[in-house]
Amino acid sequence: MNRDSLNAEAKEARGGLGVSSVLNRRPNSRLGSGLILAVLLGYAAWVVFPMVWVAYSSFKADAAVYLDAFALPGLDELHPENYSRAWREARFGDYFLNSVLVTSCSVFLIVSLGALAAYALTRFRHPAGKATFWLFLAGLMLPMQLSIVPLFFELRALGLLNSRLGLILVYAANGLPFAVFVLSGFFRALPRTLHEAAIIDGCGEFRAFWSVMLPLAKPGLVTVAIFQFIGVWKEYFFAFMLAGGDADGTARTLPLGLANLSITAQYRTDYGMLFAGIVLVTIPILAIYLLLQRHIEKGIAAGALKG
Amino acid sequence: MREGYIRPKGSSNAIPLREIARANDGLQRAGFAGGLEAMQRGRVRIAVGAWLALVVASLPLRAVELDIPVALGGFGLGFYEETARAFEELRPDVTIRLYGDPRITDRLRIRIIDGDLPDAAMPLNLLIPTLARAGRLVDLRPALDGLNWEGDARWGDTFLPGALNSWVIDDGVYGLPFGYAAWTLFFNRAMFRENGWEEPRTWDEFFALCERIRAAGIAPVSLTGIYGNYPDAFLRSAFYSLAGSDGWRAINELEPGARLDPRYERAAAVLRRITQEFTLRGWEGATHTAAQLAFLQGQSAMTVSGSWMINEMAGRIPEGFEIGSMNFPVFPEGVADPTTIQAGADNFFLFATGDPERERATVDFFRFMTSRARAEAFVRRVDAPVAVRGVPIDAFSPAMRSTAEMIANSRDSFNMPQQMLQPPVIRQALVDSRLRLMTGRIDAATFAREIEAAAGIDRARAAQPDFVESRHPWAAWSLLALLAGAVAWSIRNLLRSRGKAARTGDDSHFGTLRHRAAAGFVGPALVLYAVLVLAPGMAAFAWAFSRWDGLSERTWAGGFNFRWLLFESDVFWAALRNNLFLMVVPAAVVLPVALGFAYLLHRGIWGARVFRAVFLFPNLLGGIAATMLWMSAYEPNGGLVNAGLVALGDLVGSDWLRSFAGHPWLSADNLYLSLVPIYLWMACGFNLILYLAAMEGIDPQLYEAAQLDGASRLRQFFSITLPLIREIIAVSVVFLVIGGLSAFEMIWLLTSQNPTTATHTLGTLMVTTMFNEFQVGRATAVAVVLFALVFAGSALAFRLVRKEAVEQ
Repeated sequence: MNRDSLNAEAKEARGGLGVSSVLNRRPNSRLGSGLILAVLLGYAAWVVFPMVWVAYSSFKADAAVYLDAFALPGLDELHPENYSRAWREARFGDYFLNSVLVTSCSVFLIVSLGALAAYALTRFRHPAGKATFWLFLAGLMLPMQLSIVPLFFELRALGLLNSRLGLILVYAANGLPFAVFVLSGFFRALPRTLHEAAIIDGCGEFRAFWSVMLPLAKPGLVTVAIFQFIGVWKEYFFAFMLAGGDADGTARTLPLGLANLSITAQYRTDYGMLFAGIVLVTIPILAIYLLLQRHIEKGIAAGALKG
Repeated sequence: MREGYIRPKGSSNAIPLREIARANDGLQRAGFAGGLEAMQRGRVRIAVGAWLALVVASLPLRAVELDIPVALGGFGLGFYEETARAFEELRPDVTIRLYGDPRITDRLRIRIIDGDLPDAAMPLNLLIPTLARAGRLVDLRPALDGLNWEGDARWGDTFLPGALNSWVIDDGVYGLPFGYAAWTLFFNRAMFRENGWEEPRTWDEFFALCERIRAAGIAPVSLTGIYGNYPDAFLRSAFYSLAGSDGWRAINELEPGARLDPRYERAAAVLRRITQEFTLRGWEGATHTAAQLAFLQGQSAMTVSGSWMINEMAGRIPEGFEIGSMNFPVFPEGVADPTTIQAGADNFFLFATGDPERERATVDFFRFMTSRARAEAFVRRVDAPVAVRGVPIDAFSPAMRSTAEMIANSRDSFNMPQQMLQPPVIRQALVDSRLRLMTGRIDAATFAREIEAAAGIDRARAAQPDFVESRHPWAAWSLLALLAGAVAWSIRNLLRSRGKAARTGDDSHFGTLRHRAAAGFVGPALVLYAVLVLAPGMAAFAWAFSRWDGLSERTWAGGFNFRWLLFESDVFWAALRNNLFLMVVPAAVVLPVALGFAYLLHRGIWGARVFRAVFLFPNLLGGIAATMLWMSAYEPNGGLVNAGLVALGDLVGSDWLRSFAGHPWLSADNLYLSLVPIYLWMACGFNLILYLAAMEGIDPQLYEAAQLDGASRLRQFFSITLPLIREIIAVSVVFLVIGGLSAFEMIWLLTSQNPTTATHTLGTLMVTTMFNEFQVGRATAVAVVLFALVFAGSALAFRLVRKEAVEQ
């Protein structure tokens, strides 16, 4: 996204063609950008170092953490068993699968149901259309705390408390207002001639939506999917209230498992296990981020600009 | 059902007789002293005979499965599992699912409201009186009046004196004590020996010793400020020594004026002096395990904990460290016996599942667990005292024997009142005022007055449940006026913008949908949204006007919940203040930093893409992982932050930086300021991406023109960039406002699920109101207030966005 300005800067640096660069280049500008770079590097170090510290401390024994927080672990006293304990305690495998399942299903529901609703609500007239649209938008204003207590009892009545399905449906329902709002913007921008052409070609309304309009709204779908994926993946409050209660932990997601770990560690002063747990949770996020970095940045920007 | 309880050996007819005889023999051999054996065997025979008669009379039984979660504290699970398996051998018709759970209390609360009761549990902190009165717990008194497992005594008489008194509610006995513990003053024996220090007997000797220890350059005591019950052991012990059981009963039963007793003030002064003068730095932010670790690392000469400490810290006690344990000092003029100990037990609670077979089997299981043989097995396995009499002293390890002897030799004992038996106002006041006392902000006399005032409110509430004391009239009326204004304003704006929209018209429609097609497109989303978002949201508004504990009938309460929250509750206003802090302060830091960085990256700098990626990553990590990371980094001793500051201080020779050694970042006083860097760390990248995206839309020619005019880059930022991205800044402000109002997980974790009045947010207040106090109606009222605030705040911000959009 910054390619243009980068190019311009590169040209300037080469003393190139830009008219402006010749005119206002001040003598201290090299010093200035050196300083700026130093500030950015300093901030980046502050962002990164706590994670690095946790990573290498996760191989240390508790006493070693306590005695010298900074020191690297000695090679002869590595404690990789911190990881096996964290894996066991946090039931990382189970909860990771739960998180993947819950997140992907709810994001799928949000995107698909949201797209259907947003398309119909923005491009068609219906007596109840406008009211329904505003009803969805009102959801953007509801803080999730408002509904949680009755929701708890409602899910219990439906037999969906502490179940993955319950969590999926709740996440999906709560993501819909955002999806409808963002996608309606994308659908509104599509040219009507395409729709007319599809209908003339003999498509039904649904077929026109599915094979013509939906592919055109793909950037919007990706935006919503990424935004919601990030949100649901790290969500704690709903998971804590609606899926944290059962003994077997069948529906617990990673944030719950991780929070659990910190509580266990408090009872036993187990820094090593805590650190290992943090590392285990960070690795998959880091991997996804490295793969999809540009999409994620775009998704966040687009989502927020639309929202 | 009552007969069931007194049957000594349960009622299964599925066990072959030989098996039972063998099992009984084994238990006799393991548990009984020789001299008593013959007599007891006679009694056992009678008991077995009685049991046989009952077996014949009882109907054939189905197999039952018992569900027993246990708090995963210091003792581990091994003993309980072993006991469950042994019981299953004796009773093949019973299977026991017994498991440990560090978050048992959170889970149990949810399960109880859910109606999915376990058969028994050892929770740490549940609203037991409410449960008992709602009939969810089994009253053990009839069973305790029956025979014990061996069949040679009344079951209730086999426990240590006073051990059954902790959970007496309305004459019923609801708690079954097992693992026993005494509050103990631990000391570093080798350190004492080397310096010639002696165990103090009186408080005067204790303080004289503290002076000497401090003069030797060592912190006399290490303490936790996060779990106030630990340091409070000093206050309790000093008061009991002065006032004895009558004084103790008077303060716990909230007798008028009891807290103004000069002896109470004197005891409070003991605690204040210890924390003000003789405690290892950083105690305010240390957990109990951190304080104990500091003691074991030789940073302090003494620490206070329960006898469970040795077990809890197993594996972390340095080789050769000699742990000494002693009872608390006394006042020579005090009325209490000097051997008095402060002691209590882990209690099991039996739930009324409504299934008599299961309830009977559960009682039997615990009868078995509290048998002498099992009690001794417990001591041998976990090396901790037990609430059952008659365990030989040699069952304890040498390190525990002094504690075991202290318990055995005590002629009197007392226990702090169960936290949940205390009424809410005084419970909270103890936490809050005690912290102010310990940090030296109030003196002992003020402390006593504050506690007495809290007791007064609790007494008044007991007499008049609907009474609301108007403690915050100004704040309450201002908030109401503010909300009313916001509502009126947004209605006005809504009407106006509707008029405009009607005028502009809209011609982007493809046509009109028929009902069936419309239902096909919008129906699934609408149903899901209506059922899981709108319906519970509407219900919340109705429930906020009710009184409901989630267990019994819901009753209409009118506006009581709101009146109580707005006009009386200190917690609500403190929580709201904290929310406001989280709305304003982090935003004030995050916004300029993110904006500045975004501009630098926008105007082109080497490595812009990498910086962007690095800065955003913490945001994706999520609140829980980030909070845990920072929680470790903020650890007073052994955390990254203090170690870094001290190292920097050494480098540049700054005493001020070095003074951060042991600084309690997460104590109640510092917590919110310590959150600001975490917010910056997490939120900066996110906002930076937003600003960058908006800046990308700015026409580069604008900058070029400005440069031609000779405007500096700084000038360009203020006159071009900032005005053009005001809209997105407003959006990010909305995000930060909503984030600040709904803050929950950070505070929840950083306060160890235990926020004080000073550290609550509305989110945590709602959760504790619902699950700790079972006040479902009041919890939804908190949520409704939160909604009103978010609504007003976002409406305001959206309105600002609109206005600016129009202006441009």
